Amino acid sequence: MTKYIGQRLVQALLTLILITLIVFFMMRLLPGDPLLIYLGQRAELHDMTDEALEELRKEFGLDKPIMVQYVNWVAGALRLDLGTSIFYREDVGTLMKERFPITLYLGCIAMAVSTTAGILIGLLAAVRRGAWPDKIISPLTYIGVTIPAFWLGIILIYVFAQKLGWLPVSGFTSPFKDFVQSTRQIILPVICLSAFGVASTARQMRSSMLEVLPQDYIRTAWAKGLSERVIIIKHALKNSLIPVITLIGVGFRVMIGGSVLVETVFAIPGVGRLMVSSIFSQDYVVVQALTLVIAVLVLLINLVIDLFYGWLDPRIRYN
Amino acid sequence: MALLRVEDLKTYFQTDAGLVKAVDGVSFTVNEQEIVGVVGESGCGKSVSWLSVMSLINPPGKIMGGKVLFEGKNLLEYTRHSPEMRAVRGAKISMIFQEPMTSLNPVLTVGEQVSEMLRWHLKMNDKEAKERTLYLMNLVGIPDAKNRYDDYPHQFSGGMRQRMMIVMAMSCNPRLVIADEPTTALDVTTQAQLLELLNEMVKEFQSSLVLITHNLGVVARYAHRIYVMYAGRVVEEGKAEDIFERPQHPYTIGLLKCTPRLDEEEGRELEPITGLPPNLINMPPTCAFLPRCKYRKERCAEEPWPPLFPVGPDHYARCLLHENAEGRVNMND
Amino acid sequence: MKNKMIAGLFLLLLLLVAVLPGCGGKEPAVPENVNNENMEPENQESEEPAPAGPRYGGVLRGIRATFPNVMSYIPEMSPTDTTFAQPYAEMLLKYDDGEQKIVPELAKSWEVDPENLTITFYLQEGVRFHDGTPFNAEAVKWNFELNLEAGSLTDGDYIDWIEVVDEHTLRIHVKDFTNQLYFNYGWSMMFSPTAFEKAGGGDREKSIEWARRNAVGTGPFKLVEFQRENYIRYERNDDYWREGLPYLDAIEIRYMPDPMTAKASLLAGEADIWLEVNNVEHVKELEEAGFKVNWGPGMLMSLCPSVRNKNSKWHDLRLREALEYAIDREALANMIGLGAYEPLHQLAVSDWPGYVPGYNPRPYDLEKAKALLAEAGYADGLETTILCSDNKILRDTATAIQGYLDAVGIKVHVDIADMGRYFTAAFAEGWDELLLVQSGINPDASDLFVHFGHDPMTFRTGDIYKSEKYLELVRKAIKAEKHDEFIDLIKQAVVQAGEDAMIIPLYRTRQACVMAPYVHSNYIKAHAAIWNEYEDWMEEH
Repeated sequence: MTKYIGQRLVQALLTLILITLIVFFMMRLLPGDPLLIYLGQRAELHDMTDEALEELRKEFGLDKPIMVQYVNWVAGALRLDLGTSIFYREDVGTLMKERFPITLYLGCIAMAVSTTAGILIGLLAAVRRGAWPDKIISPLTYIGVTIPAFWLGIILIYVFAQKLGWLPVSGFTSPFKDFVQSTRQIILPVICLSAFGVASTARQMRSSMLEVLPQDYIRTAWAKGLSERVIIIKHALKNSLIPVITLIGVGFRVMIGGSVLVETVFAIPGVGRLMVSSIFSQDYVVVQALTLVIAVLVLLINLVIDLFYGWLDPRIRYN
Repeated sequence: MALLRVEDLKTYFQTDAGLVKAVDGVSFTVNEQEIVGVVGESGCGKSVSWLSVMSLINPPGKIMGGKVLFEGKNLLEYTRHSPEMRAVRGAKISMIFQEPMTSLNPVLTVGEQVSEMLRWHLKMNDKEAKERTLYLMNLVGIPDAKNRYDDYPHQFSGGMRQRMMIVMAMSCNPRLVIADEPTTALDVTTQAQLLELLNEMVKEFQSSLVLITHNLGVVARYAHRIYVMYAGRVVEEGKAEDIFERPQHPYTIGLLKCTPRLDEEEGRELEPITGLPPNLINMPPTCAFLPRCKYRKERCAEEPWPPLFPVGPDHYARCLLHENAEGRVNMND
Repeated sequence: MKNKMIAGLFLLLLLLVAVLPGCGGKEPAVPENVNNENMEPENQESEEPAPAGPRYGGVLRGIRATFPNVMSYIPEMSPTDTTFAQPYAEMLLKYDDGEQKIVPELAKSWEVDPENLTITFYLQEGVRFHDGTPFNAEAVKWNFELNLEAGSLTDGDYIDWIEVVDEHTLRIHVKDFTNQLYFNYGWSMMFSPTAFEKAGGGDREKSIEWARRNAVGTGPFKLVEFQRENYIRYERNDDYWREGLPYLDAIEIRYMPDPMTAKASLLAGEADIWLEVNNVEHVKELEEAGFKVNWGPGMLMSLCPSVRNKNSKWHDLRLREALEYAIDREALANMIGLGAYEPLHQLAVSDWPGYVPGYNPRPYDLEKAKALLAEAGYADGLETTILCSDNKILRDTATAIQGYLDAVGIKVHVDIADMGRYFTAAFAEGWDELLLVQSGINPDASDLFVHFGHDPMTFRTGDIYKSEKYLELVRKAIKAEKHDEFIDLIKQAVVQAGEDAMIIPLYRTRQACVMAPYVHSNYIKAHAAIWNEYEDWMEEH
């Protein structure tokens, strides 16, 4: 088991190095200059001089050779110093401290919702295959995996906030500041964020359950006279969870992507929106740092999932 | 005295290609502490008929008719998942399946897979259940049972897994054990050991045993009575020695001719039965064995498949040859 | 499987049917569930009693699709930052929203002396920063110097030295004169030097860091909370120098990048005012739903041919003229702006001081365009590229122009660039063929110098064709000492640009500010950077 974890960690580290290289050089290969964008947005107030540009270049260390820039960046990152945003004029660490907790808070709730609801719904559809729950669930999951998050968001806002007035249109309040308001505000974004997850998990759960149910060992369990509940929960569920768990890893990545749109639609000051605006303004520093942190998170999640596999499937654990 | 009587059981499968009459009116009797062999080629309905007894037929299969009388109750009156049926399954009638590799749950320990039955049916607590499981594991000859209790199936060899299946089957002291090709997947030495073990176990627990197999050799040694099945019906039934010494149905004769026997002189040439088993969809009303039958007569193609005719004491065969008593066949003819 | 798919599609259709009528905006979507205590939307228009006059109190809840980053460190403040700083910070001078002229704010008057090369500002007396320190000539000087050091004061290199004449008089000695100087200097926000120095405790970096997130100005409101890209809150300054103002207790603005959400917020009554709406469709929908609309000045959209390469075909006047003849700007403006945009035929919008009434050198005429092309040796047509940024209005406009030019045999490739490449082309490295750009419009005509002058801050010098005659007029205009003379020269420059077909003016976009019926605000009528928020008030609602 230790060896298994060790191998995974080494793999994760290599992936991480590769990601930093790709992001660092890709951002710089893109046409356009973040400093020009920065200056351009202030162009109506201030003169755009070459000196001003040089000054900025020096300030952000962009005058140095690219390899030196990379090494400096990695060295900084190791000291947890991710640099200063060109566009926001703010320490990237501070920016992340403002943004990440919000995205993670929403993300964790959405993950929990999509996993539990997805598994339960998929289970119901599989166990009652062909009966009415399945007939309702299956087409809904089709919609769920194909519906664009922002479109769903706009519809939810229209129906539940604008027409019915049950929930606020948008915004984010810290749950520590006003728990009720905070919860009311996150309901719609969480639905939006987890729609794909619920639907895809449910679909995977259903098909994986349908694959497990005809297995010989399930017939054995029936032959043992166990109740349906015990058979489904104890004998079938654990076996059918293995492919579902993989999907949860994918779901996390999809969710980070989805947060970009959802945070825009619901005006939530999270990290997804920071990412978008930083990509548009080509703010290398922020994009690099965010990619790095998100990559670390994704790798961590994958590691957890790998370990979870081991727990679920003794054949992996002992090999 | 009859422990179980199956009467005119019919199990059909509605498939895209048509209605498959997998079991079409079979009757069995199993007496107390009796070992009954059920023999036939694969697809003849022998497994389906016994899964039907356990109400373990999944859609698109459906039990269309008949009775399964066990301890004075018709089990077919219970729905598949009813508490009454569940109280029979595993506790009073248990089953051992063909594939030891896939019949155990890969993510649960072998010990737990037995103990859960004991807790469920016999309301034992964790400790009692574990003790009895360990006792049974020792009994079937699993070495170092204490340590292996918490092992997972993939850590067991095929033979060991099948021993665990036997433990599971015997755990609640059932009245009847149905073993569906219990040794087919194993190597020859292990096969013999396991059959011996199974025989010992049913004696020890005073249970009856139904031994389902395609191999006459397997039942030869242990079975008291034998049912031979073909195309969803019983074609011959009788005491084991009658079946082996005086087979009366051309199919049984064919089977015996292609089965090697330990007790016979060397040099006998094995004769395979020519042709293929019939397609069970849209079967003609005539004898299903007709196309492959060496003894067929013109009448066979005109008359429907006949009923079982008595051909001796407790010995029946489903063949026009036996319409009247003169029709006895000597397989060496 | 098939049945399930059909059932799924059916459900999707049901959803669509349930939702679409609302999206179309046909039904009156008056905010029903909020503000319903004293407001009866149905009767609002017919029986609206004349408001009894400004009323004190209330929190104005605004939403906006842009958000600031820097609160008060002027060298780093962008136009967006300045826009958001208006409630708490003030300038020496500002534009008047009604009269298109420059009016006093923190400077009660000013004097420009071209002979002696001085600009003198006479400051309001009795004004205090929010930290209680006095606003005086020293403070103004400190603010100028902060800007000068950072090299971020417009026309800062004209300044020779700054003289504090007395507590309320500041004189700037300049090396050379232009008539834009006093305003460029006057258009600078004033913040408390004491607060800045105190925050850093002698550490300049710390002061700057503080000033990025905090502000101490003289404005009618104080900045009390700033959450980046989320929320900003201003509260009433009880010691404001304009007697009895402001009316509102507080203003809060939330960042709302998605226009659909912004619209829903207004309709659901979660916001009182949407401060900048660029999408005409949304404005019209909200107007129909009973909201009040202030139309702002918008931007000047033009097509700029590049002559930076010596052998560029756009050196040929006939080709530039052909472009202008080939585009039906009335139709274009109508199509893109849904009736709200003004088609342009000169380098000026109709309410701009330098507008030349009736001047339309090249109305839509395909035959003339074709003839000019043939004359220039392109009878068989030519190929070119329009560079535009990835913005819906620009994209749609470029596509429409592609169609117009195709009709005269000019094959256009539309190159949609991301912001990085677009800005690089427009502001730094230049472009090769045609650039589609929006430029700001200032009520005092100063935008002519900012964007199309002899030394412009935008649209790289030399990339568009500027004739000697034009440049001379612009240089003369910026030196004009009298306003009439200045306006006259500007008009001449506009005509010269027209004769030269320097750029192809297309239309003026519109920006709007949309508010609930109970809100009274003049915001955006003059310019996005002019918000007389101290005059805003709200009726009971």
